[in-house]
Amino acid sequence: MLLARARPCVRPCVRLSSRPCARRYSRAHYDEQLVYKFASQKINPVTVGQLLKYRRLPLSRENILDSVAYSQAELPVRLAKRVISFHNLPFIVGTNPHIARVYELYYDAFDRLHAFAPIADLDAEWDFTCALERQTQMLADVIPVIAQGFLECKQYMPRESRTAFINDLIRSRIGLRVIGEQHVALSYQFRSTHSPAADDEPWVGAIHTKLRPARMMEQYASLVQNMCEMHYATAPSYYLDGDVDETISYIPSHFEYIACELLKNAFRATVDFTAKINRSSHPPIQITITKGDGYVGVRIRDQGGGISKENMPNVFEYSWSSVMSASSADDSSLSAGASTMAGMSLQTNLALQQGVGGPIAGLGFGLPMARLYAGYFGGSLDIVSMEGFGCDVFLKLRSIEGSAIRGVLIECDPDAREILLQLNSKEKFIIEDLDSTHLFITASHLKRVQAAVDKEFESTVYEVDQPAK
Amino acid sequence: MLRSTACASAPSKQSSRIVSNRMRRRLVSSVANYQESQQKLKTTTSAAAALSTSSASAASAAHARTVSVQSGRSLQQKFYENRILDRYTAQEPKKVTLRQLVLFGRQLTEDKLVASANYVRSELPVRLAHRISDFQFLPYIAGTNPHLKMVYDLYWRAFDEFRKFSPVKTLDDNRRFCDNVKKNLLEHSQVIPQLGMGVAECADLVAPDEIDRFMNQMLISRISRRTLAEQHICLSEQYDDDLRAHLGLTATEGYAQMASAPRGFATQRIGIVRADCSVAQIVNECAMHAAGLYEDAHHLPPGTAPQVIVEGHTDATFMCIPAHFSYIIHELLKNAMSHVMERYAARLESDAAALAASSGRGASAFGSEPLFPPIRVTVCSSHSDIVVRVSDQGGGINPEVLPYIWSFTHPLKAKRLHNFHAVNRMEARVNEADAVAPLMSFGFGLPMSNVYAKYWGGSVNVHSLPGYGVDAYVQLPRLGNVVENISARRPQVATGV
Repeated sequence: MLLARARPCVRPCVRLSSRPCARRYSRAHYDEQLVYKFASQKINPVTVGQLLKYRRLPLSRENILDSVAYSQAELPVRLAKRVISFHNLPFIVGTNPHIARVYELYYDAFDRLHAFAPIADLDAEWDFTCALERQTQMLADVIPVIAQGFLECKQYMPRESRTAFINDLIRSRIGLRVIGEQHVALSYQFRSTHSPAADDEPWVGAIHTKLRPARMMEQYASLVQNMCEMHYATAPSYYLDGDVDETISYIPSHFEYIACELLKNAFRATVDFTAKINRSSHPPIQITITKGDGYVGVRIRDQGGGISKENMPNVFEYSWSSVMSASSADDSSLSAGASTMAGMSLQTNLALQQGVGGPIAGLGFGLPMARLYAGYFGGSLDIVSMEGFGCDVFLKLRSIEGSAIRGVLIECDPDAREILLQLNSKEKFIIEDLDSTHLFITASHLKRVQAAVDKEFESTVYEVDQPAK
Repeated sequence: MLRSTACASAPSKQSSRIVSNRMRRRLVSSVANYQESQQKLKTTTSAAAALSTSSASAASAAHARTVSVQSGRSLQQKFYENRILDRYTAQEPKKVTLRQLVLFGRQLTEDKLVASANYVRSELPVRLAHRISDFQFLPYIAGTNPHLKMVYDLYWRAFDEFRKFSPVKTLDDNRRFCDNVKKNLLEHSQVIPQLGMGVAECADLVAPDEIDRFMNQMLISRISRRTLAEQHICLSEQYDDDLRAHLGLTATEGYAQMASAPRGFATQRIGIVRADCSVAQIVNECAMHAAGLYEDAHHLPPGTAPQVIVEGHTDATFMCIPAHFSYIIHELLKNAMSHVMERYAARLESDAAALAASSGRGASAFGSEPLFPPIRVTVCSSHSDIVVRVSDQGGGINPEVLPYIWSFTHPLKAKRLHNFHAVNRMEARVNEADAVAPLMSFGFGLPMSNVYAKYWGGSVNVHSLPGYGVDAYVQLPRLGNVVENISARRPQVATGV
């Protein structure tokens, strides 16, 4: 992490242990009661208020115990819901080794975290924090693994269900990480020896309240430029303009992930296109920072040739990349060891996909994940392609401030939820997508959304014809 | 409407009386409602009273009763005549592509010209019929609005005229036909202001989605009819010019000698289409025109308006109707310029002294710094599309208005739509901005540009960066092989048991 803080940063590789199959299946079937008990509880949305609760106060013992109580209540329920979602996959899909591995990881995490007794003192809290940190790191690399697993299961599940499953997984994973990382960061902040006066402290757990997007973009762009230089031996230049002095309150690791994905795409496209049309130099990449009301906008303009009309619908699909060759995507005769993605073995993939220093392109889930991250706190990510010239990417991030937005938790059935997700693509009102029956939306949109859903339902009601007598 | 009991042409006196009584009661209440809403919305009564159109009774709200006088027949009578319309709405319009229009003109003989006349003669009634039936499916209260009713009557008259026109067989017939069409085009140039006023007044009475759909269909169809008509007229005139030149006649004489063309005489014309329209050239022309408008309106010396820089594939060309493309670009540039000038208005004021001192000397008088940040237009040409990006630093679009910029009606816009009261004619052309005050905003530019773009299968998209500026993208097909994007009337409602 670029804004490194004083805490251990060890990231172990995913353990590829092989457990006997019998134990795994019997565990799924007979131990289910506990998981279902947790999964049936309601989850509360990750509210801005909760995240910023300890902003002004110097952190005290009560605050920390309060925070751990919140985490202890929320995390096992969310983990249990994730585990349950695997139970609903088709059997053949569940037996795929990669998907089974991820299922094991989530089950482990649930096992370890739900067993803690209610925490009343700082030692127990420290144990919990360490366990939490370990689990967060172990679950860090599930996305490439599960994407690979679904790639192998292409013929067993339609694309919409696969995409829906991965979307749900990523969204809830973001929630898990936000809660978990927030508590771990607060815990370290409480215990750190260097404690400045509460007012000066820009950090509230994992949130930095005075993040300067311009400075961050400058750093990331320079980093990606170096990566590009290493990979291709040449790299375009970049420049920043707009409101460069603005600050925003956001989680730096999220911003870093999104920005780096977008920059990697821009740089790679520019270099490739220059080679393709034989131009003499790379046109620079323009990064514009704008500040609206509670929003920060970042526009990244490149002249990398744009995305063709045929490929536009696919850019937000998982396991699809313009860099991947067609043959590896259609590979149907796969065995566990020989399965590949982008021509590399899974091990190499995982080794490379370690945070920001990941490969410059090719794994196929940078954009969809970036969009989910952007949308998690009410932002958005849009791409406009000018074929033959370049791409414009519009990123909007909502500042995580206490008075920013009022939300309403709504409960709906899956059909209504689908309608709402579709409406959301035109006008963003969903703050957090909790699970298949709950959504958290901005309060000001409630009436309009209600009217729109009613209208949709009305228009799709069919009258049953009376049989002719 | 209140005189309907006297109508003699209804087939059954008994039923007509029942119908008319019920209708009369509803009409009275609807007129009362309408007048009430008129009082609430009316802002420019004096302007409206002064407005004179070819149908004198449409202007004033107090004469809502005289709605039926224009056509001389009552609505109830028309109800039974609607069967004529059904014959035409049952036919689908025969759509064309730009390529077909161009190829048609390649070998333009007398026969082809006559065939084109007959195509237009048969197409216009079909397309008009579809739109008339759109009116008929509007909610009753909207249809009784005098402005919408006026357009409805205009369309009915045109429909009647065209369907009764005898087939065109000779060049003379064609010339008569063209004169007829020209007269209709002129008469219908008041449609857009009337629709605008009518729609503004119905904003409270009909759901906005329905109004938007209605307006979009109306306008797309209107563009399609005018395109066909203007193309044919243009081809005919160009053919006549060539024929005159061929026969050695001067410009003013010779219709008698030109009753029919010599055998084998052909010419090559493509009318209002251009096969190799240069994007950069059109953008520059529109930029100059828009800059001139604003400079005149604000009494600024030439060169002060925001500069427009064209970048990208500056030599790109494509097949299009230049009038349509210019309209879109002109609207976007006008929006961009007005926002930039508004945002940096302070700079204008602080330099007012310098302006007064150096008026007439042009932009260089203000030093090397231009007064406003430039508007950058980027042209991209791919194999099948042209994309033009208009990027300004005008501060972005107000987030409250943003969801409604593509809508023809919305409470925030209704006030602007009343500006139509001051305008008699509007054809949605670039040059007519000279006749209409440029600073008058109707809230129409973006939706209308969208209609023009959609007609040939393109699109207009707007991304706003709040606090900074706006990027607008116009995407149009390049090769002219996309079919007109007009839709037929909505499908028949199935009658249940």
